[in-house]
Amino acid sequence: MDSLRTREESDGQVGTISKGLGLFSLGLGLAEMAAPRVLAKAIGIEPDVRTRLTMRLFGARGIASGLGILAKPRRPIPVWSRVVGDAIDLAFLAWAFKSKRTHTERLVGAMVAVLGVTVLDAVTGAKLQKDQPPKVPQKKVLAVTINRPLQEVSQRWREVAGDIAEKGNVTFSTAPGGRGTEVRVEITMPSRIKKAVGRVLHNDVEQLADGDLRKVKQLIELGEIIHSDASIHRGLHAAQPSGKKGA
Amino acid sequence: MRANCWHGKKDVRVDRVPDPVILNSGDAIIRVTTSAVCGSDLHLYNGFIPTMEKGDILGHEFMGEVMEIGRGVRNVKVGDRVVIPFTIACGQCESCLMQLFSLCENSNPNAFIQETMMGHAGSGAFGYSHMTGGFAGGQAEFVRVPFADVGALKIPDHLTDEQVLFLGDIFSTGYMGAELCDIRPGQVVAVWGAGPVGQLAIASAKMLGAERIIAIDRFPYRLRMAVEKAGATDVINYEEVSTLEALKELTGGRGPDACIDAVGMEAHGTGLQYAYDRGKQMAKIAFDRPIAVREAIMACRNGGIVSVMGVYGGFIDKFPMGTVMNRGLTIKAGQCHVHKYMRPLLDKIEQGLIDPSFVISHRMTLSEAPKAYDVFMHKEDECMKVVLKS
Repeated sequence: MDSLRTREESDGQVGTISKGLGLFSLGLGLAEMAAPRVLAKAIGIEPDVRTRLTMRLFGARGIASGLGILAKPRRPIPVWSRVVGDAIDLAFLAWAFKSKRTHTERLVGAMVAVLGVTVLDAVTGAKLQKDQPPKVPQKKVLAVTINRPLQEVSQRWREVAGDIAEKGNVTFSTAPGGRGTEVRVEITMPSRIKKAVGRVLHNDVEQLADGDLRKVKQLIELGEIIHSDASIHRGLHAAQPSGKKGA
Repeated sequence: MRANCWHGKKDVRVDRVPDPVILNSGDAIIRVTTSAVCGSDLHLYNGFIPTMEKGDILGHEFMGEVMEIGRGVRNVKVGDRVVIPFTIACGQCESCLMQLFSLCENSNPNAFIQETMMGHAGSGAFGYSHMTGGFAGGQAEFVRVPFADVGALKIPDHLTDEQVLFLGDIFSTGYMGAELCDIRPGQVVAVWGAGPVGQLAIASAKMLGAERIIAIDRFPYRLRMAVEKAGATDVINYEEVSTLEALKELTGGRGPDACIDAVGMEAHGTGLQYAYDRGKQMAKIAFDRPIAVREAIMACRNGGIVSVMGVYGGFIDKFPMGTVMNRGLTIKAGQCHVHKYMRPLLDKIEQGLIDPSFVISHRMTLSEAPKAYDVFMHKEDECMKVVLKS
């Protein structure tokens, strides 16, 4: 129990710090958007047009990071986005030293402050990262109702299922009212990035499995897979004949 | 063969493309003798329907002669003269067995697109984008027809192409629109849109016993046809009077018992609401201009039926759901289950109860298809319906 309480307290602390960083980011971002001239002077930089525009861009970035953190204070990525932002701020401040119109003492003070916040951001990001639960592959159940009795569907499954039989666990049940057989296949979902890439390349696991399941339904109900003039081609093709014979 | 292909917004061309071949055992290859340009083809022409590809063959209203059949075809034979329904149905899934043919579960190879956009998928359809399967359409010299046994309707020799062509879409669609209204003798039906589907919905409402039928449009020639040919008893030109006020006056303040929307996603209107809908559609943040369906809901009598036959593509806003709920309206809609209606409506044509060819205003050749779209689009020369001879 003690160790559990300690873990909960630690989680609570890092969550509070994360929320604080989110509020700080939001506040500073709003200030940069609203009063770039005042802030530029405060950190010792000449508030010319370019500086004010840069401050406003930084402000927009800070608001986005702040909202991201406040929306999900236990997610490390929004906090890491602040660390990246801090690095950009430091580079900007270092570059400002080149100008003769810079107030050096104020600029040094600003850099020290940003460095301090950077350390806090990085420590919080690392802590949140460490506390993330291990990633478990997401599962999804795809389902179709085949207008045939359960016995017929389960007997023919192996014969007609093809790839989808290898993709996941399958269960069969009689549909309500005896209106066919419900077939459910549990598949392992790819990460969001893999899924997005799969959609572009026409090999999205979910879409392919869904298509396979429909083909199984067609094979059992109709005895063959139904083609259109476009669907016999892989990827996009105009809906016109190509002279290519079907399966 | 030659075929009318989509190449982009307001760009259709008659191209040389390969002849169709048998892909499935239930296929038939048809030599198209007559096809038509449908109002819903204009949604494709105007670029409002997603998932079109350059080169897609258009056309979902067509008929012709069977030239070749797959090994599984039993009900039609080479040489038969047939009309084809615009939706494709397998005849064996639960939806087909319930006669909900436009919701066939097996005929759309791209069902996942519609599932993503609409929750569940409808059937395949000829020449109507890739979300309905990517099937080549019938504005061509030849077309492949899947599930020929289920869809192809044999036509007796004594009937002309023009008398029966519209069984495959607009006549069946208009009839279903009227049938969904559960019309009883003495009832009043209002029909938004006096285009071809609207005209045939009016004629169907008359056949089903409506006492008073009110046609609503902005073109005088269409309103004239609605009275002289289809059987409308009253007309409203919404550019001259307020539709809602005119309907209240015509129905003694009660409202029509049933309202049919035969307009769909490209409705016209007047005033700020129309400008708002048009602006959203032009900015590509909305598929539809739902002016007609909104008006139909507002006009319908308490407890009445709104039957939606006009095609819609996506999500609409400013939808008067409060009216639907508080006034106990029933909304019925759907792509037409053409397979269910073709045979009984053919019987009505044979009995001389109706000749749907009255809507034809222009006859052209397949080569003139691009001109046909342009003429129909701009309502030139009082254009109502264009048929194309191959």
